[in-house]
Amino acid sequence: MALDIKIISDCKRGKAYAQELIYDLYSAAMLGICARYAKDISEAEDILQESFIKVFTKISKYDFNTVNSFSAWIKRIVINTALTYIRDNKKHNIFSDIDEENTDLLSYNSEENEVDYPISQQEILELIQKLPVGYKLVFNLYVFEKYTHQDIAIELNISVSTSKTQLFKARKHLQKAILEKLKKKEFKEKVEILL
Amino acid sequence: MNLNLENIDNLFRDNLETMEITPSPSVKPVIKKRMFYRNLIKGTYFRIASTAIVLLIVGSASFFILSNNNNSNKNISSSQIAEISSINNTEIKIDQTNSNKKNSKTKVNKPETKKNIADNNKITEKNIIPDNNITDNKTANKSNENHIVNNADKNIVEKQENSQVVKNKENNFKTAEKINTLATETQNNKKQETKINIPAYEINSVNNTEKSTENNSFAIEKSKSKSSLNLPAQTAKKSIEKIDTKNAILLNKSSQLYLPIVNIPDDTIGFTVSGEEIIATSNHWFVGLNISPNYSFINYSVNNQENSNLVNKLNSSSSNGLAFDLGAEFGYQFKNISLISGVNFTQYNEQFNAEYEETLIQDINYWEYNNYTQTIYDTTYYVNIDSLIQGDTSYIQVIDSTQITITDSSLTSTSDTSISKQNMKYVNKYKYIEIPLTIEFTFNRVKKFSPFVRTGLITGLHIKTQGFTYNVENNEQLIENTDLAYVKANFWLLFGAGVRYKLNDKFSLMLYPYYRYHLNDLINDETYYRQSLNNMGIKFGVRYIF
Repeated sequence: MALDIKIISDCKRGKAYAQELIYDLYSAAMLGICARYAKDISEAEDILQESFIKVFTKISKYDFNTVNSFSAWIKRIVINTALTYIRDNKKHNIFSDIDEENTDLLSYNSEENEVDYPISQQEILELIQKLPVGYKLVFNLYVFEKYTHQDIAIELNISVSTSKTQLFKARKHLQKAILEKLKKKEFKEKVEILL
Repeated sequence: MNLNLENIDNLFRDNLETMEITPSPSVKPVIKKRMFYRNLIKGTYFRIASTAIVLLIVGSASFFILSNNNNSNKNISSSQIAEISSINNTEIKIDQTNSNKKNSKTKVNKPETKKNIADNNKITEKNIIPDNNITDNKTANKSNENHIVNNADKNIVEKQENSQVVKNKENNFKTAEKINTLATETQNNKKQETKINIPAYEINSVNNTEKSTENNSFAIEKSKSKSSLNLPAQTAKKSIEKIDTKNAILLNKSSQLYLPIVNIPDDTIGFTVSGEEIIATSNHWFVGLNISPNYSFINYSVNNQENSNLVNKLNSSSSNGLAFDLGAEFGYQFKNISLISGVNFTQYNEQFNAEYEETLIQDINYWEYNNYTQTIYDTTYYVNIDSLIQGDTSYIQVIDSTQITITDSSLTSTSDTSISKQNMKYVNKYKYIEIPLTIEFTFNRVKKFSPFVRTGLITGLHIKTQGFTYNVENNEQLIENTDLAYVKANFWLLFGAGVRYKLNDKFSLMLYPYYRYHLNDLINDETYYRQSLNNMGIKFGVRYIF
């Protein structure tokens, strides 16, 4: 999504039309990112608001020469805002209770993982939104933002091993949740056929 | 679908990485509103900071220039000091000669303060006596000297001391006489309205001395003269009888002439200039708080002839609104002129009283009934039997008529149009942050009541406009206008005149009516009518002088 340099320049000068245009261009994609970090769409919109306020106030620091993509620059701000938002709204350590959660996840048998039922994008989003916060952060950063465990450790101020463990548990958690959801769907369809 | 752990990542990445969700419509206005206020605050702070910096620079430069001017008036140059010193020495010698001729004891107290005479026998800068005044008043000085000498002659001591003591005393007397002369000269200068700012405690003069009842002592009574010296007798006695050379100033080395340093209590101040007067007439910084009710005269004018009817209607239905402003000010007063700035929050109210007309259309359905009468004829033929027997067939025709009434009903709809009138009140509240830059001229600033006039330019930053609508039942309907149609930077010309009342040296109250003329349009749209926000008010304030 190319954006005219003039629009960015006008946005730097605080022109309302340019801000509105940038919002219209990027808001949908950025809300998709926010939704992965938030627990629901309402919280995602709050993060989006904060993100665009930061974008418009810090756009003077955006350099055409050093940053390849304006969208990547905005995405970076959105992710940082999301992380800050989660930290600020979480009173206790978001990684403290992870190890105690869902200890039965590891007992899942991978042979049972062959399923043929489709799962919708909305359902997948809900699954990731329902992840515990610590899992969610690590999973998002590793899978979508392509951070290394070293980067995640620095970003979230945790150890590398903690990052690895949480990623593994996040995957297991998601695997279990998907299977449960699909089995319910399969059962429901069979019932519908019988009826 | 294989849900191995490795594929979990791909499953989520494929589905969510490029996912787009359209935000709800409420998000965008919130961001716009927040950005608007952020820009407004940023802009406001920037303007306030810029104005403050400019004022600071201008104020500092003015203060520096004015201070230099004052110092040039106050300070005596080295050449002037040398001249004064030489005059001292010369006159002291003359006085010694005179005193030797008289060969008599004269008892004159010579009070001096450490501030007044430096160790090098120079007059300090606080004893401000312009050189030209000294020269001009030479004749007057001489007459004063003679007057003092005569006074001294009258103060004859009963018991004669040894000659050296007498000599010292005479020298002291003459020195005192000289300083007295300078002080008298200073007083004369003041009377001649030369600009000399002298704190009262810094110059002391001896005009009138009276004979004491004590031997070898001088008691100088509190004089009725404004330039007199008030000195306790015991202090004066010590200064004459025994001169402590450590606490005295060597005036003439050859004659061992010392000038004793006597600390004079503050309550023995003798000069005429009061502290209040000095503060009142000095240049100073000040701060103040003020509040004012204001009354807006909002005027509409035609910008486009097509709107002339609307403008006439607005002007006829508009009534002025009472509102307020409050703020803080600071400034610098130089002589009678003050430069003043500050920050004000001001609200202007505009009110319309209009008759609201509403056309009511009411549909009415009703049945219409139409009755009509119809007659039915029934014809019957009868054969007459008798005639039939006779072979004659004849018929008798009988016509039976029946009248029936038929009612026809139909549903008819009509619309009833009526005009409903309501007296409505519309109130617009305009809110501004203002930075005034004004100049004030004060008359009779040394008096308790000092009238002043003030004028200047006021810059107002539009913050918010709210519209309220009230109907007869007083139901309030809030319409908050944030469409940015109002000009952000507004300018008013201020004209005001009032009076200031001094509570004491530091605080004063002020009251002044003012009128402010709006220089620009209230709204941005040039195709619309023009609207100006002239207003008047009465400002109450308190000022603190540094």
